[in-house]
Amino acid sequence: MATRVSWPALALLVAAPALAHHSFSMFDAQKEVVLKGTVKEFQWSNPHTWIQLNVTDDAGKTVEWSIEGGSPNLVGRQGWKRNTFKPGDEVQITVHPMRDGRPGGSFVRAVLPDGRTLGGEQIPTAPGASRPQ
Amino acid sequence: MQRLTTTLLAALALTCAAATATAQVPGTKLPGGTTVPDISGIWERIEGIRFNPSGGLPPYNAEYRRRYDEAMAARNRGERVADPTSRCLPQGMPRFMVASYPLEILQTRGQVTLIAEWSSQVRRIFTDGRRHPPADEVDITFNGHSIGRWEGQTLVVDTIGIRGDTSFDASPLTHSDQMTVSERLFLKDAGTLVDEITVTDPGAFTAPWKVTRTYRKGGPDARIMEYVCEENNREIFLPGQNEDRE
Repeated sequence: MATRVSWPALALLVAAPALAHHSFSMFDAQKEVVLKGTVKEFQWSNPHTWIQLNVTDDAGKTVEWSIEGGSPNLVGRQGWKRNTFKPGDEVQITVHPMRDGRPGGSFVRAVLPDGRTLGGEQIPTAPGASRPQ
Repeated sequence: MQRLTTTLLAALALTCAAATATAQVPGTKLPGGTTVPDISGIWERIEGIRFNPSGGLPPYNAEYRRRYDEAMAARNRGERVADPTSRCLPQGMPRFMVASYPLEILQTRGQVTLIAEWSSQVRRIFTDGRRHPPADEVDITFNGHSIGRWEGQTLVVDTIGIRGDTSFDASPLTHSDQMTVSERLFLKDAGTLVDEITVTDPGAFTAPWKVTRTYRKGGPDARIMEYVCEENNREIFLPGQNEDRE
């Protein structure tokens, strides 16, 4: 299908929330997963940015991860640009994974192709593990 | 003749008072010899998006404390607790004043306008001397009906007609439809704006709740960015997934 989703759309669509206006409870903030993959698409959009990352495991199976980041209004003020991630970029991205095991997560940090790192910004949290809009 | 003079002077005084009430752009002379301060510009919230920076709860009555505790328990179990802004609905007052991203303030004749970057929301504070509509007629809206007046260097604002189904921040801090908000906005210094917010809610609180917020003046590069929440919001309803939504 010619959308940004390569597997069952439902899984992806539920994989949403994050750095902004909703509870973060669907992500496990206690866990970090390091993904190495190829950027399929970078959605520089509100309320959140999304990195669609194709990750191939040792068995040769490729899975598309949906990685939710801060809004352009947030990360743009931290130096991100709409071309920070480009299709085809080989990157390493650390995420807090979804609790239910689906291939989605919230962005923690990244290593870009040129070796630069992104992330680690302190984002104020409201009670109950929510994050800013 | 003396009576006529007195009448004319009284009329003149009324005219001047009316001018003061309506022409409240920065620099307008106020009674007492002061002038309207310039609070216009882009202001960045300093202390995060939690409504009360110190973290304390409102003085909830037993019922609203029970609701809060239950919602927090659910969230701590990993359940998703509804926050209307996750569906791109406005924060509403007074959360408007702690919404993510900067605020822009415009001062024009008879009105102070606040533009929140988050979803390009607009809040109008009428400073033209008008009163609130009657309580049983005022439209019930997210930001309510705000009227303000300058008392010395402080803009005193009163807001009624606020919806009861919004929260103070992303945590389940709710309130009733009896909530009203009063504010005192003033410059602490040229680069610091303070909003002393007093929330009164006979339906949910046992006493007024006072929270003070501080904003830093944006620098020369400060700008309001576009933010269209509906652009790519994947927080959508799916069968079986929305029990915990509103």
